[in-house]
Amino acid sequence: MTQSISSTSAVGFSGELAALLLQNEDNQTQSARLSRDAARDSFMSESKMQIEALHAAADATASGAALSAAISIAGGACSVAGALDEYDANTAKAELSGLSCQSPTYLEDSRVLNQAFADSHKSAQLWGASANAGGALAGPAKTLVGDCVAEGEQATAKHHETLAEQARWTAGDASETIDKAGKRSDSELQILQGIQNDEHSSNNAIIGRI
Amino acid sequence: MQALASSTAPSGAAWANPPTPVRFTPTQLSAACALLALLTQTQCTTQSGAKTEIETNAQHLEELKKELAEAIHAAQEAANHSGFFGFLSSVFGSDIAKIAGAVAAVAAVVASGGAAGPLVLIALAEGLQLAAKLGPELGIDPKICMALAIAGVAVGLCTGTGEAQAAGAIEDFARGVSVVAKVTEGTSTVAGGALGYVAGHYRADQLNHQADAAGIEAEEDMATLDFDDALSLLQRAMRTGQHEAGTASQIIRDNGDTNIALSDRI
Repeated sequence: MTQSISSTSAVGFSGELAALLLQNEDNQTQSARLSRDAARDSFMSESKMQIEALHAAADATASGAALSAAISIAGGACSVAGALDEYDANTAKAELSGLSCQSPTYLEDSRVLNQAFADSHKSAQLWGASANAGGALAGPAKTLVGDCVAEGEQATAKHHETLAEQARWTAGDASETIDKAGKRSDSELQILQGIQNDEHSSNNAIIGRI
Repeated sequence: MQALASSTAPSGAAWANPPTPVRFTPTQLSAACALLALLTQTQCTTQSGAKTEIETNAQHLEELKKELAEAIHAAQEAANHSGFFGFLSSVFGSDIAKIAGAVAAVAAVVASGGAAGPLVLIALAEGLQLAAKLGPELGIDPKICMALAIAGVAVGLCTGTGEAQAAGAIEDFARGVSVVAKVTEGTSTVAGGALGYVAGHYRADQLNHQADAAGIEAEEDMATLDFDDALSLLQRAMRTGQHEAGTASQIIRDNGDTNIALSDRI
């Protein structure tokens, strides 16, 4: 190595060649390092987006479940209210049919009972319709707000997962390239050392012949 | 220079003990050797840094593995809870509500049937008994068949008493059954909805834990890459250190050879 930085032309040539080769390997290493860093950034970014999409899918599932539950609970409550009103209506109807025509308050009682029946019946119908609507809407609402959105987000997450995997492989390849460049540099240095050794031996032989 | 070279030499370095016994002066340990010594020192520092990074990454990987196991366990528990509450939701919101609805419908028919109520009840009791008998042959769930049989017996009892009672009493009873059945249906629907919400909540929890697990896996991948890089760096540093030691040894040997050749010629 002492000879390689001396001013002899032969050693200078091999040293120059080695320096160029090493420079080349260093450039490749730098390039691979940049590629690896970019791939890592991409991997982290895609992974982050994948996780965000998965959380969004979870949120959509929760929203769908909450909406469906709210509609179901409202429907059930309407059903209970409708049942109670229907009971009132039926009771009024039964009482109406049991009225005696000879009663002095027949007309008034029948009017009141008819009114009660009509009101309760109407109310029961409304509650029943609401309950039916609730029962019918709960499933589609869950699908629309929860499942569809969640599946979309899952698909997005899968897409990002694929990109992240691709970036991971790129980073791995770049690391491998860096390793290979390092090994090539070592080989080149060994070859250079051999050349210098040979040159030094020949120099010694020349000195011996003088 | 010599002192520096000696102080920074790795243990057992070949150039510290040259093969030929040559006396070195400060001028013989040239600037190249000093440079190599500095390079060796740099490689030692690099190796030390790489080792520290390897240890740090190994610890980080261990922590991430624990976190991943916890996230997976939590996701599994949430999935179990989601399945359990989903089953309950299905039972309350679908099965019980449907049965209650059917009972309410029959009771409503009886309640509005007037004098035909007992006949309806007899027909219903017979129908239920027949369904309970034929159910297993038709592949219906035995539990449902048992429920049908019990309902048939209950309706049959009502029929028996209904013959002895006035039609109005049957209607009253049917109205009561109808309202109770409808309230049961509504309550079951409410319970089913609430349990469905709990199931959905746990399902969302499961997805969140799965997302956390995916994030931890990504971190683990990154830590593994860092670990591999640190390992590669350590390997390169060791290779380079060996190479530098060999180079220095070679330089000294060459210098010695040259000196011998020159002294032989003088």
